Amino acid sequence: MKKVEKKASHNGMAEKWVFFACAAFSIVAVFGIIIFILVSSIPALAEIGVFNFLFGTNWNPTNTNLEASERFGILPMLVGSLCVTFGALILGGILGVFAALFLVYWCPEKFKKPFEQIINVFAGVPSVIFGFFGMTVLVPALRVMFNTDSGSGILPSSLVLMLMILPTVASMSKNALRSVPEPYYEGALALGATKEQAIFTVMLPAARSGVISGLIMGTGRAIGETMAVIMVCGNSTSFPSGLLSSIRTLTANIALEMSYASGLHRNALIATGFVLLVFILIINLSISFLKKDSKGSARLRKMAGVTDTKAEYRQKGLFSVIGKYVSYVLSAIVLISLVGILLYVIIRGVPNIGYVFGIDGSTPAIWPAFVNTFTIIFISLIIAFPIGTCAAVYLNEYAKPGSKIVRAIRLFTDTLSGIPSIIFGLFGNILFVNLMGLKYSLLAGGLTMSLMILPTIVRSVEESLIAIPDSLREASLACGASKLYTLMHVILPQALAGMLTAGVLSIGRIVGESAALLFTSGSTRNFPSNWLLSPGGTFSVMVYTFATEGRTATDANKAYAMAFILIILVVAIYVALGLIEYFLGGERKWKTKKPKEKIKLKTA
Amino acid sequence: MENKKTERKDKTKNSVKDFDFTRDVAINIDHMDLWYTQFHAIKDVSLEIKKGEITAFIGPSGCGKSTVLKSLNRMNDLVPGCRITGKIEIGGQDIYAPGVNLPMLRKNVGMVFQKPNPFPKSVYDNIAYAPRIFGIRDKKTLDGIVESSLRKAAMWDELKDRLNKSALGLSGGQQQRLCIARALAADPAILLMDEPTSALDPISTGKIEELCDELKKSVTIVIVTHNMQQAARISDKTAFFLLGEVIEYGETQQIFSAPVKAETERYISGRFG
Amino acid sequence: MKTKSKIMAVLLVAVAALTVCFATVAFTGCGETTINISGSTSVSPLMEKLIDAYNEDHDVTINVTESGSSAGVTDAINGTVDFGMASRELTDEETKSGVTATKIADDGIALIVHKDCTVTNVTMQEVYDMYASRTAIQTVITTAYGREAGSGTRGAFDELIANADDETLAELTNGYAEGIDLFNGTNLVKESVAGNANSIGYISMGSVDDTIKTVSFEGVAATTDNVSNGTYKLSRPFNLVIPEGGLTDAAQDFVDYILSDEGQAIVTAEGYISI
Repeated sequence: MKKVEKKASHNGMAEKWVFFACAAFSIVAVFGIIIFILVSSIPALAEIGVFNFLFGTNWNPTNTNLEASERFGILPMLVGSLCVTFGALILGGILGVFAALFLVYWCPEKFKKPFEQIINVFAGVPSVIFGFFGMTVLVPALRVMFNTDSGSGILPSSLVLMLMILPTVASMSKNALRSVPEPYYEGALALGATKEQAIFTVMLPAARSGVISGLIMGTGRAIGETMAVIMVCGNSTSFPSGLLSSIRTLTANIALEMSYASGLHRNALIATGFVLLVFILIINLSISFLKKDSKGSARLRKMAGVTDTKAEYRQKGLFSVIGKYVSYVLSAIVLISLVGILLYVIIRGVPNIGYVFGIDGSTPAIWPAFVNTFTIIFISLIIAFPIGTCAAVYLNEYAKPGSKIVRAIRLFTDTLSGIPSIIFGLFGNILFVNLMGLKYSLLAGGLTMSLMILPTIVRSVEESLIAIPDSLREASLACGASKLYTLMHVILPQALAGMLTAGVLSIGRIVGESAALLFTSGSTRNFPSNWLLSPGGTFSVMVYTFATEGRTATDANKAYAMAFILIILVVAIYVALGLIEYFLGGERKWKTKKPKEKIKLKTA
Repeated sequence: MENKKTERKDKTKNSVKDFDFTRDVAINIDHMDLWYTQFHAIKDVSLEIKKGEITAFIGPSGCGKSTVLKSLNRMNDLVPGCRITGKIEIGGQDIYAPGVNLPMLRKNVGMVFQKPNPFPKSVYDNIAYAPRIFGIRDKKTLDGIVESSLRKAAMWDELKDRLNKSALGLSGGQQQRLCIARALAADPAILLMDEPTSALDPISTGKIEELCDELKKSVTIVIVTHNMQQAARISDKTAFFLLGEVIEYGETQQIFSAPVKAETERYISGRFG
Repeated sequence: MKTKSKIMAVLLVAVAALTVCFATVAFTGCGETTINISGSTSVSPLMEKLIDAYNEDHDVTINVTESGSSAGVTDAINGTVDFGMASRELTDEETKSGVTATKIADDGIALIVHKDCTVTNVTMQEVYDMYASRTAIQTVITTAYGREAGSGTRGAFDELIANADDETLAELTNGYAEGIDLFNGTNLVKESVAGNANSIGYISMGSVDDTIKTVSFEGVAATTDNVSNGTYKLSRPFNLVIPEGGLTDAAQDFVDYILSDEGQAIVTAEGYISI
């Protein structure tokens, strides 16, 4: 430590390059994922033909009587993915935006925090739980309601995805709305707008780009979601013919058949992943283009000229008032469905809790799940945390703000965070499990997860670095401290809250992950026996395997019990986040200082 | 039957006609007191503001001049814990009476804020904002309102080629005048200005002062200012506030040349505040 | 500020302690003998019971990864596991790669319906028509649930169900008919049938429980007796896939145990057919 400092004081370049390497790691990771998946899909694409693959309408991989070009067509899945995503975007988008409006403008102060917390917790609820709920509640309900044969298909998939993208859309819209300057609101009111009119005509349009970013992120999440959809979409490989016709998405196709596939079939599934990846990359790029969006068009407006019309000013605003009540109703729906899922899992989980402790004489599954989950958390944090922190330090402390390289790194970090977990699973399976020969193992799972959590860490740490005022840095440098010393002793200690938040958020992500781990660390229900090289299922993976592969009725009960424990873990993680905010939130006070003073002035 | 119909029609228009801006007295504040929760911010203020005049509120920071101004279009309602007693009449109507049409009040009593706050919309959409929310959809009518409002604000020649550009791209002074034009588009009878030039450079300030002089033909203006020269230059009447009370109210010339009260004299000569 | 740094210190120590704690637990298993098995999700439940019994007097850790028959075979070919599990016969291509199959049990494939369903017997033709063209069975059963391509259960089922012209489901150009929901697990099929009174599905006979009921196939009830005496036609073998290089001593001992009377007694007890 001391040595490094001494050296650094002579020449700050060494550590700068280390930080730069860490920051550039996300670029390497994104390219790595693209290249490995592309290379693994090339054999399939060559044998099937790109056109036949993309536009073939028949997917029947095991019928070897057919030519390769005839049995690997993903068009029905492409259409299915798009339909489901579109449905989820419409439903989840509307609900999310209106819930955000309610939260920011109409929610009584007392309920604001709880409502916000519920939405936050839901952002962390593992997808298997949504899928499980959809399968056991939603699908049968729709079957009865519409009096059809199956009840699975586009509608339940869209509904489940709606619930999943809702927290993303709602929280991003909420942040966008909150950051709209207050004077806009006052200005609108002073012109005679009602509160509702001001919200719908000024505030919401002003928050537009944030809301749209939220919607696009939601789209990315919907199109990449796997485990929830697989349980409710029906999975038949035909074109959608109605809201309740069984369909299959690209992600479901991969997860359904990956574990059984070999040879050409396996490569064709990886190629499906590549198509999905291309979609996601397009979506991510569109967000970054949106951020640059130009202000106003240059085109001239043709005016009718001053006419001596006597305009009649009449009181309006019915439309906005309706909007307000719509927002009340939709928020109630959001709250009811979110709390409903929680209650469902609790009610079905609590009575069965004994099963996972081995009450029926079977090996208790909970302890291996604990050990496996935390081992994977440990591995991925140990890898991703230093890299992520150094990357954030580079971006905020060393790089020239706004330079090309910084923008590229940000773009790739965002891209990495938008890549769906099933793609990470494929990548981990190709690289770690097979090429590196780690087999299904906790290490392979941990390595895969470390890539997944990297963007979260970079972003949270960076945010807390940004919040530190420059005066602090200047003060330390002015005392003669080196840049590295300043960083280690002044800057990073101030960013502690951000670093802890990053850690906890990452833990949340790992705890909830199933698609990526199923293909990297496996689903064994044993304690790891062979160091990090033994396979092992985490909580989420076990919920999934109990729900799908269970042999007896008690296995289904175990799935409920595991889901319940998972929910408790998620809640615990959010409580931990809350505690960090509470005890160490002082570090962020520079950000909130101004508004607080303003309020004081107003009331004093 | 027919009677009923006309009656109902009258009722819907009632709120508009309730404000009678043909009267000589535009604003009448009668023994007004105001509390922010426990804090007694305004103490027994009575003022009568004549139609077509520019009235300046001066006084040290925290004296309550902005508070009184904001009570005139009830923007104080936004502040939690704000309580008002006494009577404020605008256009002959008690604006704190139950059932007052708030949007119509604010349409008729426009406001310009300390910091320019154009919406993040185009210049055109900013000006057309108030007409639109009051139900004017016809494009020609809107065009007419936008142009005449910009002309009234002496900005038409500056902005006629950039009506579609974002208002946020304008300079601070232009933004503030745009806000004035935006308020004018609502066809107000009274315009409240809350230190409109405090964030602007001298040239922009000069333009706004000229504008006020021009506007006074059509609207009654109440302006809060920290700048005493400004008050002396543009206003007809001046009210001097101190610690929530009106110390002195009268002709501007008289206030600045021969103040009656010792506090006024001391403030104007710059000995405190 | 002082209390804050104290809290920080406590938090950090707590985090560190937790990590060390879990890491220790994770690594304690190091050094024991282990056997890694992967493959068919149909075989794994039986395998887990066998492991539980075997471990009562053996100190070996046996890991089962449920990945599907084909993956089990692939893993065995690549030597990434001690042996694989397949719930179907090996293909010629697979045996050419050097792996051999050791049969440990037979499993019936039960056709299951909702508990309140009035249908008690189905014919081969009815089942074929349902999966191939979604023709209602006895007007009551209007839809069916199946497994995904590559599943051992589906592979065996598709090979066994044929129409009058002896064309099997496996030969369908477009796979199952439109609207037949597919799942990648026994439990999902079972839950779906249990929740839909007008549906039929197929699962491993050993996985049948009282949430659903079985129907007779061509007049023969789905029982283990009928499978072993050959009258119930829907059955397939459970195979262990032995890698080219053979088994380790520990794995060999475990396989011997499975094939012993003791092991086969468990096979029978779990509802499968011993060899």
